[in-house]
Amino acid sequence: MIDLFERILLLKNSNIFAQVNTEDLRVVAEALNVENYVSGDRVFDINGYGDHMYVLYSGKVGISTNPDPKVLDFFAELGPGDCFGEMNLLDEFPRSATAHVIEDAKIFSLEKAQLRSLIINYPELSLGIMKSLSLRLRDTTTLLQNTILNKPNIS
Amino acid sequence: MLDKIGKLLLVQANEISHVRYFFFLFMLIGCGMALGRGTTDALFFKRYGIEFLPMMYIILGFFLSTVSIVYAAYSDRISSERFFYILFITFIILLVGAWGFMVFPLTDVVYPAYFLIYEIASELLLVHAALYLSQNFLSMQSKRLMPLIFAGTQIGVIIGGLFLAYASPILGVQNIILIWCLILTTSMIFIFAWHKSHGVSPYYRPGYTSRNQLQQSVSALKQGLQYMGRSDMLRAMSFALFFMVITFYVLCYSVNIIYTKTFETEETLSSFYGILTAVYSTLALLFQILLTNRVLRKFGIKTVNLFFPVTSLFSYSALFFSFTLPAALIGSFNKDAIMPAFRNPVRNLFYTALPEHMHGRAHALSIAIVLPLALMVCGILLWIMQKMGNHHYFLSIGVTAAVLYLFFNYKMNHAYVSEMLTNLKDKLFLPDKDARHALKGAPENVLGELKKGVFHKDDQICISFSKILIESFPEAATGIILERAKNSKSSTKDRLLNLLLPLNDELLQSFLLDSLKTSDNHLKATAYKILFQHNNEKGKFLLENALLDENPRIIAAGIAGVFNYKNAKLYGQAVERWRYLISNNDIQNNLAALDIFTHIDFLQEQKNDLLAEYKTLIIKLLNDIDEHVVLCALRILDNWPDKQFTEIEDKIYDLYNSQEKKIRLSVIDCSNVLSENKRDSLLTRALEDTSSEIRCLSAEKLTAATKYPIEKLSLWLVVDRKGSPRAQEAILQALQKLQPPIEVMQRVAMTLAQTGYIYSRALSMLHKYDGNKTAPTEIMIYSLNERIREYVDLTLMALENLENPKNIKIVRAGVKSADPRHINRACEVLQHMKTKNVLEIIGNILENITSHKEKKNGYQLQPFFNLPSLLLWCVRQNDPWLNLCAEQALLKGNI
Repeated sequence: MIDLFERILLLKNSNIFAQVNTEDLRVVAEALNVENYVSGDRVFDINGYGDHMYVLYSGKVGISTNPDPKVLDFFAELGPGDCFGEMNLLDEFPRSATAHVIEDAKIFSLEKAQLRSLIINYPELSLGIMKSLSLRLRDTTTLLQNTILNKPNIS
Repeated sequence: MLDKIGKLLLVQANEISHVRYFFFLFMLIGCGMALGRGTTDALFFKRYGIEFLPMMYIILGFFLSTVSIVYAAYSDRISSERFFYILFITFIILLVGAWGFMVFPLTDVVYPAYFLIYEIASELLLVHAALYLSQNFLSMQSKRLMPLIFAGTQIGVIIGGLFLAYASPILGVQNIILIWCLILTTSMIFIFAWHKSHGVSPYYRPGYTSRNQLQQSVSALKQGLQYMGRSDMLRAMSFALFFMVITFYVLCYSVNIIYTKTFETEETLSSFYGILTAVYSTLALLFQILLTNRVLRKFGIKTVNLFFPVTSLFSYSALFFSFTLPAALIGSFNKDAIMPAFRNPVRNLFYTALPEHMHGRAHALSIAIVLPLALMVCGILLWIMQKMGNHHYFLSIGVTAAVLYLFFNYKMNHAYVSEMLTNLKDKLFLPDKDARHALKGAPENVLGELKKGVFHKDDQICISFSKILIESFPEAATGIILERAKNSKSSTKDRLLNLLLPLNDELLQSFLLDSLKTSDNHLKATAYKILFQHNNEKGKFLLENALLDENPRIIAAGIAGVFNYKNAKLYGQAVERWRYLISNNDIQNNLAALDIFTHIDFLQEQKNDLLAEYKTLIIKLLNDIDEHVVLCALRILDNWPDKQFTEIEDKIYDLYNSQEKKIRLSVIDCSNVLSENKRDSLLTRALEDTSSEIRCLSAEKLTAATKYPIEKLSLWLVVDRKGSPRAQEAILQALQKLQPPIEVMQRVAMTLAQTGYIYSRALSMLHKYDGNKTAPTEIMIYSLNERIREYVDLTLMALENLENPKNIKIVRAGVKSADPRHINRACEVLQHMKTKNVLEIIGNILENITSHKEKKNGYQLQPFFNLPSLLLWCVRQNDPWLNLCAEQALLKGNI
């Protein structure tokens, strides 16, 4: 059982929830479900449909965009406090990547309906999500540059 | 020593070599300027004649204007160090040439030429030095390091002055020019050597190269002039500068006449100028280091802004009474020590009130237009007055200019706060009025855009646009909205028609009459309702049809219509139909009956008879599983005629736990049916709701439930200090609506500010705690940070009753922006408001937040002395969230 305050702290230190008041984060923390994964598991597969977003509490998760979900070809490795899977909840397209568990992990999940209701009650959440998407876009730009143009970071 | 000063002035380790370089470079430039100043004056006055000084002012005005425009046009084409080389080489050539003509005299014109060279060189080198700094430091760095680097210039001036005093009798005044050339050459080599090892200035960005550079400079000036038309402050600043220049140059002229008469040879005069420069520059430097900041802090920018005009008037008074050396020394002290120590820094601070994009244009306006124009006017006036033969004539110009200078500085003070507020408002995109009202009288193309919005496929967007359309184009709204309503689903159609109700348009009436022919009962019911509500002529013939219909909403509309038209013949039938609806087993029938019950006086008169069955029905509806039915029942209770309805107390209390905001809101709305204790308990709980609408409604209900609302609400905030800041915000809003006496709001504001201050002390103590910080302790830090900001905002909100509410709203937005620039500007505005005691505390808190430095300022109310006592204190507060955090921190913190 992970303490409520540890959950709040985890959320406060994440990109998406950093702007939300701690008092309001209590509601989000209470809505989180904890899921345990072992190394080698996949949290979700590319092109699958999902209705959860995730916040990593412990362990490591690798993100791969390889069309074959079994291939361990990570473009990002996530650690405690990182969020993933939230894009799918917003754009309603299939998952754009596969999330592989690299090290045994405890992951909090939040349901789509709950997230939407939270966004309506706490608009600051949308700011956090925008911030996280912006960071993703920067990472993608850097990756694109490094791999295709072979130039240093423009951002 | 420089390193020690560097540490004192927060110079970072990697900046030391840069600062050292700039300090010595600026010292060299300052030293050269002092030599130039002394030799120019001595040679011009003694060899050419001081009577030509007014003429030189006129010529200088023309040259300065031209040179400034050309400089502005080309200065960003090349890096500032390369531009420095060009300036240095040009001045060296001109100076050596001037020296040559002095040694082998061919013409006297060399002296006025040398005068012009010095004046232009001093102006250009200082302006370019500032640009050079900006290309080598980031703006925040530059602000931090500028005082130290410019102190180098002052020290250089002192050294130059002393050198001049001792060297000019030995070397001869004209030969000092060569020393100046040598200093310029050394500066150039110094710059060259630095950039050879460090490369081009790091923040140099080549300007856009075009043939129209000059045109761009001129257009920047035009924009400056246009802004001057709009900005009271820039206008006052420009007039103040205009009269300051006249005051200054008349003073220069006056004291120089005395000095030229007193010191007979050019060597003694030059030597005297050297000593004068050294002494007054030392005093200016000491004032800047020891006095300027303290005086600014103590008296504020507005008072210090009046200082130099007043001392100028004193100087003129002294010269008026005695046109002798002591009075001249007082005048020189005023222009060479007081002016750089007080006037120049204050003027720079005033510039910060202007929008950032106007800083450059405002400076350009000053240098290229106002200053040269004032110089020319000054020259012309002096030229005329000196022919009168008495110094009182030209002194009177100076006195008049100083009085006008004082007047325009006063105007500047007046415009300062409003200018900052305007800029803060613009930066934060705060509208002058509600956007909906702003569209009134908008052009036709706006109507087209609104129409697009109304026809948007998303119904919610359509409703929002319809509201704006009705507000801004009421004459066109009905047709457009009815067109959209035709193809909308029933609920949207209903909402759109209800929106059009206040317009009571003929088009709407005919649409409603047509709607009665459709098979859509929902639409028909709405149409009947609206027609009857507006006493439509044709509507009165439709009453019976409505009463006899089978649809409960249509029947209810008919019943309401009978009483609205006061059709006594149908009263009996209406009551019979109402009884049919309420006694029916179908919930929709019951709801329709209850919905109109409280609005019809006739039924209200019989309420005692109807109450028994009414109560039973309400209980049945409240227990329904359909949330919509529950909501309708709660809305009916809002108009409940009896004060209490004890049978449903527990149910109502329980319904407040709903996740649905609409249900919670309706529960609070009908809280008057509860017993006093239950009602107060529910309302107090609802003050902590996540929805601000519910919190505000609860506070209003609490207000309505007491005989002495001002006392109750102010006691809540000042003595009990109940609830979290969001609960207190709702209470404060309710209190503000009651327009309480000023003393009450002062106490409230003071209490809120004190609470914020204590939280800031608590946060500071938590930050210093170096033990193991557990999750609750970390959360405490975050929560205290949030609480401090919330209490600052609450205090400012309370000040809306004590200060200009519009200004406070802008300041609140600035503080909330979390942008340090806006917070600083907001703090500056606060310093000029009336409620000093409260604002001092708020200023301290904000300074602590933005600078992360602790500032106590003698205000001690700290009720804790270490971490455990801090946490215990938090546990004892009436703030539920903070209580919980502190409890957990105590439990799990090993403290």
